Amino acid sequence: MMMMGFRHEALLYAGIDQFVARTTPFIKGALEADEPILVVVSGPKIAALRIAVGKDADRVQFRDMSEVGANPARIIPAWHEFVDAHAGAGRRLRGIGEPIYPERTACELVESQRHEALLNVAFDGAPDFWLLCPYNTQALDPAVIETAHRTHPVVSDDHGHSSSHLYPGVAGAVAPYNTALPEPAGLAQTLVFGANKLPSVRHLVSREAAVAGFTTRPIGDLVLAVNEVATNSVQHGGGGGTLRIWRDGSVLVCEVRDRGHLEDPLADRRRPAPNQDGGRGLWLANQLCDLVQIRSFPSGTTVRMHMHRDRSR
Amino acid sequence: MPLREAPPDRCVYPRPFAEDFADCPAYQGTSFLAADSRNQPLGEWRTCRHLTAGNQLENQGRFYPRCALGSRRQRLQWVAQVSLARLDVVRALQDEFDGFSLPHRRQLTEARSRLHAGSRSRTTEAETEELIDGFLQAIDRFLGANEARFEDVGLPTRPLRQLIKEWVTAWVQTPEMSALRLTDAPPDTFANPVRAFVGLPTEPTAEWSRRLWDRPTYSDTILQILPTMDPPGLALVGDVESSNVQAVERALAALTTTAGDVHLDLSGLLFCDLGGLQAIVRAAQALEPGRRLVLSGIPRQLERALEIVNWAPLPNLSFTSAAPGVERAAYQSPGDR
Repeated sequence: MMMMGFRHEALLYAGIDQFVARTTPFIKGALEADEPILVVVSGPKIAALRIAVGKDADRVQFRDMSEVGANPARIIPAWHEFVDAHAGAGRRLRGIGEPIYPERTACELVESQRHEALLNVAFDGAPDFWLLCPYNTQALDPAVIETAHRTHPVVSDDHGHSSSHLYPGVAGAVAPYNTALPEPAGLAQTLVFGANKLPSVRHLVSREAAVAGFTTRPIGDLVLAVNEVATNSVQHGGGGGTLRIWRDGSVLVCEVRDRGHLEDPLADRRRPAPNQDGGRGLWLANQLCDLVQIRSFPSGTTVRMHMHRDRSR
Repeated sequence: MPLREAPPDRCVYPRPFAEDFADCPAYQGTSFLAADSRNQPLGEWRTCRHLTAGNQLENQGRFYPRCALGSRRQRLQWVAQVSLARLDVVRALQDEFDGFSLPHRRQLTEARSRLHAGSRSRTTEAETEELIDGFLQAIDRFLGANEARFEDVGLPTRPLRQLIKEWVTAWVQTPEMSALRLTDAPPDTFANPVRAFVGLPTEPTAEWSRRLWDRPTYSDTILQILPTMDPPGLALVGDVESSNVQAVERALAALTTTAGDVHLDLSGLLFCDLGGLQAIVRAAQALEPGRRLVLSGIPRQLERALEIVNWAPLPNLSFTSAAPGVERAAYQSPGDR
């Protein structure tokens, strides 16, 4: 068998019927070749695919994207888990992941596109792994479809598949999604902190979240996450940083800025090993928060942690 | 002349409390229904819900500002049980209540002084009734809109509404009543320790282990590390963070040299970061096979953090349920069964 490495392919489809018609042969092909396959899409699409695939559907691993990928930074760890579980068997792996759908908020969309770009880096040099990312051309903005051409080396549509001339290559894939974040529209609470001000950081986060109407569990989660990121600033980001907190509708955003530089764009998506020393803060923030936006430059790093007030968790 | 020893439950903070007072972790600014006996405008001065008048026995007739929660260590234990997040949610709800209720309370204050000025007529009584009804309806709307938050902190809205209604009625009817405290509410309506939020006496909380408060291994402004007896070990009281994690590491290292299981009482912990959790995990791993680090009273939040960062299933880390009366989920690691 010829080794192909990682094949990251955008699949353009119009409507649910085309979705099922185009993904079902891909799934059946995997089953015929005895290749492990994981499908991470919405609940209704999982139901439709189970019917289309028929009696062999139990050999397909399904996971609900709204659970796995509510925060898009949790999707790469899920693929890593899948790839690691089947690595070394010499078999090709297949996956279908639809991280971008119309219900995404503006910030979630930006982070989902960043996630798509990061996939190219995360599985560069990996064993044979063919990942299909469906994009609904009927429901998504044309600009989103264009971005799919920039984040995927291969795009398939009505006319079959072809390599995307907009894809800049692995080396240039992520840079376009590491641009400065827009300034908050509303007023922000600001706290400049150093090593001895972490209690103040925690108190401000707790108080602002309580005033914004959060219940105790998300408040505790946010305090823990922000404290870890602020501790990183104290230890690796020039001895301290600036905390800003503001509300964006029913979302509370806590931003930590410092003068440090995070060189590894996947730093927040590697599952920590039990024995590693430190390095768990960003991972924890991604597991606890609804969305984490990280932008890092040689001049400094910004981490924004988002929490939805009305989301059950 | 030797100084008379201050009672341990004396409130040591300057009063009246400043708008941004935050020195006492248990502080609860204003009450749901602040009032004073001279019918002064409401909401103008801040007090603490836990502040009461204590009577100094050896100095009869002398009163002192007494904290209903008890001594400093009892206050710390209460805050740990309640959790800072719950304290902040209750504070936010109190502020919101104070905000929307201020016009109602002003009107009721005036009606009340007319009522008790001697001009008790049918008209004033009917007016007062109307004001009370309007206030209670506003309270109902507030409780309804925030039901999830009240339930979350352990204050079910139905008995709370009943309690507030009784307060309002009693306050309007009674000229000399200054502080609204109802002590004959059914004891189990609100669980310990949130009873303190509605002015009900809380029972002093049992400590998981006997802590030697006068012999701290380490102490700073946010953390005390105390030796414990029965079982012997350590108690962490306060916040563990990057500024004091080395002290925790040192204290744990000193413990692991003794024989048998090592006990760590975390029921007084207000906060612990991942570095603190790592110190605890490392101490467990440093024990020779067969010995365990037994964590008691671990806050639920920390249990989740341990799971998320992949530390929960370590074989030499064991969890026991919290002390009786402590409102936390019992936890047993699979290896304990």
